[in-house]
Amino acid sequence: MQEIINGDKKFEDTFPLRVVLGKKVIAPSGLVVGHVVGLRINDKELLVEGILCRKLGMGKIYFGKNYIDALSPEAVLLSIEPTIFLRGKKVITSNGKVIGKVGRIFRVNNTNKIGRLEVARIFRKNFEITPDYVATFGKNIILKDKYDEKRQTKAE
Amino acid sequence: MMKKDKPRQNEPSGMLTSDDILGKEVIDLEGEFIGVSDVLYMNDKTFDVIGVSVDKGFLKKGLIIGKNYIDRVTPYAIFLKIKPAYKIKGMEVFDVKGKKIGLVTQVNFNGKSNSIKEIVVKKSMFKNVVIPANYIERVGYNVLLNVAEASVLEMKGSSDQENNA
Repeated sequence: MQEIINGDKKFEDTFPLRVVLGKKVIAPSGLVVGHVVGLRINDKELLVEGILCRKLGMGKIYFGKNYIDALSPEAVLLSIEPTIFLRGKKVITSNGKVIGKVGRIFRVNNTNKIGRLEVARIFRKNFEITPDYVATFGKNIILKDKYDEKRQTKAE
Repeated sequence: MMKKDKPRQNEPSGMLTSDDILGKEVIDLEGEFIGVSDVLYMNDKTFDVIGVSVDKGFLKKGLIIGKNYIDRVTPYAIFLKIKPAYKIKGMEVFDVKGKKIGLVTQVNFNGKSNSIKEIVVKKSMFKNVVIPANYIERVGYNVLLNVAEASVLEMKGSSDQENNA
């Protein structure tokens, strides 16, 4: 094989994009977000712009390159915990009371940043909270003390 | 989930009773429900609280949490300062490039603390690998290492199948 390059990486320092297809997409917490089903290229700059990932039950998810930490023949590592996976998690007050589950998630434009979270409750009206009331985004969501203070003030 | 009873008369403030602690959901640092507190342990000489036993559910092994790992006791739950490391058992292990190494079959601790000494990872049916804690980058839904698979394969294997977790 002959190489014709000008300041670019050598052939052996690159890998074919097809090997990434089917590989796992992993968030920093180790959560397997899905598997790569496609790669999107910027036709002007000839760079990978993002990856298309599929997860059973979630459909297809497109991650832009700014959210990709590393891309290798083994897996794709994200730099973010996708906030869309918060859906269904329990919402717990700082007093330990479960007040509902995360319903809809309103993100800021198409970024991973949360604008508001809908808390869904059975037989009661749903309500929304903003991320500044949240202390922990983990296996479930724990709210800050100021949420309880706000509710108390409203009740008074 | 036990609700807080009406305050008893002449009860000093800033104190908890066993009723306030027992029967409560125990929640870890990430909001995961561990179990229900069922027994309170006290020093028989000084009467200091040592810890709380957690019932993790039917047919599940019990767990005792020392008081230093308890963040706060609230009317509805007991919050922990930690994520119990025994939960690592059964998680997948990925190397720094995202390649799957295997499943955690055993977790060895430093004494009786929550600090991990090493994990035993089942790489294949006949091969286990012992990975020291300093190679663990992060533990979340699964375990991420800070080394590549090649470094892991050089590590000492283990044939000890005893469950220490």
